[in-house]
Amino acid sequence: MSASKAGAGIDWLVKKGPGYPLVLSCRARLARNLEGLPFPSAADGEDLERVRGMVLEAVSRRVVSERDWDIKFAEEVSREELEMMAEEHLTSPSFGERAAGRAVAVRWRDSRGVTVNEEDHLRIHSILPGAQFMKAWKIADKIDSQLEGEVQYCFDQEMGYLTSCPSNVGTGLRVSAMLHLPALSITGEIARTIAALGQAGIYVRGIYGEGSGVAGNVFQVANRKTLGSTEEDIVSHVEMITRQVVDKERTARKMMLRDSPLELADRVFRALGIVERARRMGFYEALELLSLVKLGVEAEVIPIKDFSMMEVVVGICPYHVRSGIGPEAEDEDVDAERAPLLRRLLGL
Amino acid sequence: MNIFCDECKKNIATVFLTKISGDEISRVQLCEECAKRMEETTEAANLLAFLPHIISGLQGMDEQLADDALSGQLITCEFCGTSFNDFQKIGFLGCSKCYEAFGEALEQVIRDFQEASEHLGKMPQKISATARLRRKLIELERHLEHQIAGEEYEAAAAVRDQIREIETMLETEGKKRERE
Repeated sequence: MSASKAGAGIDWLVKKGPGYPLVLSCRARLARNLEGLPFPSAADGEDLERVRGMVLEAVSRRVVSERDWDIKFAEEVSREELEMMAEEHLTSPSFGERAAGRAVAVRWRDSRGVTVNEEDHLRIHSILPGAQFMKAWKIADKIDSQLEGEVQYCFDQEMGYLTSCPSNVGTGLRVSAMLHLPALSITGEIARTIAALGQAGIYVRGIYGEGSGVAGNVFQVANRKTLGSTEEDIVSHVEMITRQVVDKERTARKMMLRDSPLELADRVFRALGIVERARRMGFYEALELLSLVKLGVEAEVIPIKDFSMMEVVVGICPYHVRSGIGPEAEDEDVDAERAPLLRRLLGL
Repeated sequence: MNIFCDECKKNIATVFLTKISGDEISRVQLCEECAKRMEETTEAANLLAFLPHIISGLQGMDEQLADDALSGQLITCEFCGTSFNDFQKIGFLGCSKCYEAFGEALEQVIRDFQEASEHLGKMPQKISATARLRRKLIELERHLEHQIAGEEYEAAAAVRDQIREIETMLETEGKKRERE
């Protein structure tokens, strides 16, 4: 079900990490650019090719041990596979829109990789299951140090690493966590939480990042500022904030179970009923139902086997569903396929 | 990511709003002027969270300079041809030289957005190694001057060799960088 050729399980999608089941995954991302070449938004085809050549050569020399890394040129990858890569959070949703000169080097199993010529010349990322922020940062940091031996980064003593958008300047580090917060959403507490996080310098976004809607009660939190703190301080801050939000969610769940158990049971069983009987299902509806079923399972209200939220989410994404029925499938076909697929993924 | 007001697309956003309507969560960022205007309209009723993050964007900046800078008429990066105006429109700088070219206008944008102006994190090993070598070179040169003044010629010769060694290293490093 992954875009990886091996098709094997991707750790962050299938494994349980610290903070399970509320912290689904964490991610560290570093933005870097090469000295002497225009940033991707202002670069022509030749510049982009040069950047790609330099970055991939550095990756090949320093990072890749051929067996488990995979390098893909965006223009040589089918539209469907590009979309699946974005659905697996390997690239940003806009990665495939302008494929020329872009590339991705990735180790699928533990989701570490380098994306070339997206917003910046290169972006190094590491995604891990649960709250393992420091480890994710250390992995990205190591790849960064390895590449730095081969290429010259844009770096200014005062401003740090120079990035295409000044919102990343300095460390170039964005640390984020994917959180499943159904109880805070149901109680409406989430709005206040988001407001408080904003004041603490934390962005809240939907499941597919910037500009995406919130769906399935999955929220992404990330540091807003990248300048003026050490990487370790940024990591600790996001870690601490995550812990606080997760505590709030736990409390909200406890209160729901204590104060309105019937309402909770009714809500989650209605969701399960639809999942069990539906004959077609849109992506967003599926996410909402999935979130409630997951809440029911975790609260030990619904007696079915626990499952990995993100594995199912990715599995029912439009292009993952499509991959099972053929690229010529219409949206209607995808919706019709998603309903039984969701049952299969949940073991119903 | 854009740093400018979603409404007028001209001023730096200083007010960040999170809007939740149904399943949609969206972020709106406004400059103070537009925020004030919006506050008076019904739009504001939909805003669940009102987060004034960064206070007045251009405070402390010379008014004329601010006007010139933000109009984007004056500054264009010579290396990549990106103007400050382009940056305001698309939210991206064209190259690393833009940071210098856009000078104070960009510094202000960064200070407002990042609430900081100095990098405290990681440094490329190469850069810091070079910086370390430079510092060592300066120290040795001072030392050498002392030794010559004190007529310690034998010791001075050894120091001079060390200096040459470092100079060669710096030169090689510089050439390597040029090639890259």
